[in-house]
Amino acid sequence: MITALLLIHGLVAAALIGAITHQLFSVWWPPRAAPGSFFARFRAVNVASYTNAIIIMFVIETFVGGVLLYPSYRVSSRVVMEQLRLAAPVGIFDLKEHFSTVALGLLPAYWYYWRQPLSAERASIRKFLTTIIAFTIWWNFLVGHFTNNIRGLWS
Amino acid sequence: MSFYRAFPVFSTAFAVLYLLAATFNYALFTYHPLLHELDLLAQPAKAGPAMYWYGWITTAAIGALAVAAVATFVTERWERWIQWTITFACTYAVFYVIANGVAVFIYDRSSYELEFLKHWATPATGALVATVIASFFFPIRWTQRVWSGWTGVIPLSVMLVFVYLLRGWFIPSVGLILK
Repeated sequence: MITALLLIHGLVAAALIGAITHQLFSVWWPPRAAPGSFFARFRAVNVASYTNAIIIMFVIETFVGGVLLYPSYRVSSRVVMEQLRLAAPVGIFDLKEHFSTVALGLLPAYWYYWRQPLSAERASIRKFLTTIIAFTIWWNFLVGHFTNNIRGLWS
Repeated sequence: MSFYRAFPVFSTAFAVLYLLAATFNYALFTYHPLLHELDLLAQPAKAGPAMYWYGWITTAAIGALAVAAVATFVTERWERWIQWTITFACTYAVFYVIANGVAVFIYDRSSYELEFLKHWATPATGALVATVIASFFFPIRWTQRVWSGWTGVIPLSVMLVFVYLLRGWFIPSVGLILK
């Protein structure tokens, strides 16, 4: 069951990371002309329409990770990591928990500033919030994989 | 203030309240994962670890909902006071970090015991005096309308505070890497 949940968690995370990275590139480097290169096409998608999908996937990720998987991490994996004195992995996983929560709380504001029609005067705050949420999603993705694979890293 | 403006208020208040809940352990309930039991408020571990995270989120969410609900009734004439208060609070937080750093720096290098420098009230008072003085020099444009950027600045600051609070987990590893 835990393995199946971890797979779902990983698959949704991959979709989420794709969507938020499109949006992040688009807000920082908006395409100016008809897209020609791969990166220009990557940025040229209609990123405002990704907002609701990103919010739904983030909530699913937090539910699967925080409610269904986190208790088993807390009673088994974390205890082992503490016994092995792997302080830094425990610390970065704690940061994942806190960053996720702050980003979860940011979703209402993120939705508000990405509401259609997009206002030009709110472009900066949209960029700011998208960057924070993108950073959190990437952090969670990398830390999650690192922690999941930690047994094999130094063996 | 319109109903929709409550959304950014909720996000900003949630970040601050979550930081307070996690730092001072204001959990609305405690979950004991080995026993599958829930206890009201923060309770010590029974068998296995106790989980407070769900309780912190609930506390922060209820508090932030209350703040957001109040915000929907705030009229425009209060905006500059709210902006002034947030600016004052953020300036105070920055000065507190600086004052605390200076106090610790002097304490570590002094040749005799300056115990008062380690008391929390020393940097708190110093920061308050500095903020009151600085508040006379706040540019007018800083205090006219509520700045939407707070929605990003405050949660980002909360994330940085968490990095600082959890530094004990990383410093030994960073030391080892640098060695």
